[in-house]
Amino acid sequence: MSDDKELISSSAEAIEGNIYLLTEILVRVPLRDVITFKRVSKRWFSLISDPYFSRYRANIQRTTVSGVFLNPGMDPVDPELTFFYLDKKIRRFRPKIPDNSSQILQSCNGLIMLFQGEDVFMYNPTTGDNKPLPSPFPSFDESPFAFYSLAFDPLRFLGYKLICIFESSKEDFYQTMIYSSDSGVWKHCGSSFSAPYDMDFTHGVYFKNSVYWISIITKTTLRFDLNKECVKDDMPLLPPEPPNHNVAAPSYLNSMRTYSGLSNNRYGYILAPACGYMNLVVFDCEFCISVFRLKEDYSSSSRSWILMQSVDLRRTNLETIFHVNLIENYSSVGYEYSIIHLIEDGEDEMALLLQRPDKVIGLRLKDHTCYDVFDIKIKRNPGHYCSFPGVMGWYRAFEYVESLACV
Amino acid sequence: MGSPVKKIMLCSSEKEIFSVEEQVMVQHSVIINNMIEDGSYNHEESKIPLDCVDSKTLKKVIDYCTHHTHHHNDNQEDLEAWDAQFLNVDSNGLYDLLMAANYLEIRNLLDLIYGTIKNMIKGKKIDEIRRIFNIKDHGFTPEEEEQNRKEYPHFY
Repeated sequence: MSDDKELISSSAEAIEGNIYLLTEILVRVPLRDVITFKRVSKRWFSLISDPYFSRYRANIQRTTVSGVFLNPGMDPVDPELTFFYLDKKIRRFRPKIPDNSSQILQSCNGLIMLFQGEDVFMYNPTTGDNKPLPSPFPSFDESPFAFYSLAFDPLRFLGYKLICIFESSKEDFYQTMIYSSDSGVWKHCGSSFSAPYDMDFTHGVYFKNSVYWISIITKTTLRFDLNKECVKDDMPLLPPEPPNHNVAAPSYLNSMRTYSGLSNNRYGYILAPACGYMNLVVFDCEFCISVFRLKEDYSSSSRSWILMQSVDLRRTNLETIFHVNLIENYSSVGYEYSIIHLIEDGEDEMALLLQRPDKVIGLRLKDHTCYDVFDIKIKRNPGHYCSFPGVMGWYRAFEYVESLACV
Repeated sequence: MGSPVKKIMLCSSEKEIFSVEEQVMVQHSVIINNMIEDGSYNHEESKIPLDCVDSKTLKKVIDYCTHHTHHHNDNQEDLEAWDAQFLNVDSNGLYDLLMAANYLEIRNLLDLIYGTIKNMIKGKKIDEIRRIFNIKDHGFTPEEEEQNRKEYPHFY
């Protein structure tokens, strides 16, 4: 039957009347149509709005990361949240970009946690729906030092969960609270735990029922186990750097960080699930990038970080790396690029997303070839930068996955 | 020569009997596979009654399963061309096939039909969808409907 032929009304009515058949058909239509079809009837509206529908759709269509959001950088020349798709396919749909007063805190499988003014919102960029989140404390701005992580995984559980890590009264000890969208309330969980001073709780990454955090100097990993609802310290040490792989920040970087007010931030790594594994990108803020993969041995329940790829940018054909004076009046010479993410590139391959002043490019790990991903319209003046190697205007991408999930 | 090909009997709603290679149906239909596996089908005397599948549809279903069993090594393009030709039926025929594939749990045929119906509705506006499925009562209040039309005029 050709596409333009029409269903005869009696058959069509019978299919439409059968909620099971109708669901099977609607989970297969493209996203833009699903959003339109919500308004066909009340019945379609409630069918499509049901969390089971988006869960089933995610299962059938195997949605993957299709684009990334980037928070505005330190560079005030370009204060807008940016979005681009990872491929150059022509689409009739674009996600709704939150307004400029928002800052993205976390993104996970299609939902985004936004910070706006004094409030925190759950936002779905596909549907544009948003909902203010309750604070575990009297309010978000009257809380102790707290860090939030988002866990949303329609193939494993309905709704989403938030994990809040906050400092307890005892030094270097933390406590945990968990929020589930099903219950709508925060609750305390687990006992307090200790963590190294440099544990980066701001950039938790969800993967397969756990949220992971790492500390790049003390080289540890902690994870929050969503099944057992407690923090586990059962991860292997992060891999040591190769000899010329100076993650622990060369001294000129340290001074630049201090100079630029970024001394508390360490951007020398990216945790990114891809190809069914948790991966770790480690870079020395100069030329060397290593990609590790977390491998689990289920028989001995041991885990280890395995080196997958090493890239020396000087040995690639990137003509993207040029010398610049990083900061006015600062004499150090660096290389104007930043690594913003690790993405899947086809079935089992991965690529690094790199930014240079005029474009974002993908660097395939298997053969070190490059491809253009996104052209940056504003030609930035390097002199306006408040950046250093590895950290330009953009430094951390938030994944976009199309999703109909409720906020 | 190997042993003779094992056959099973399928009986349509008109009580017409179709003799099919067992392997063909076992490979495609979850229901028939289960019947053979749990021993509820007796090769000497049973036939499988398919009371809600008429002869015309059953013949098509058997055609589909037979082709996909014997030609599964063909290249993808040839198979897709064959599938397109196979589904070149009127919409009542398509619906009957859908119900039969659903009843017999033939996953790949179901996916093929769902995909075909999806192609018939994708990109359509709401008014067209309502006409295609003959939806008279959309259930929105006049105010809600007006609001939707005002807010999303390009949807209609």
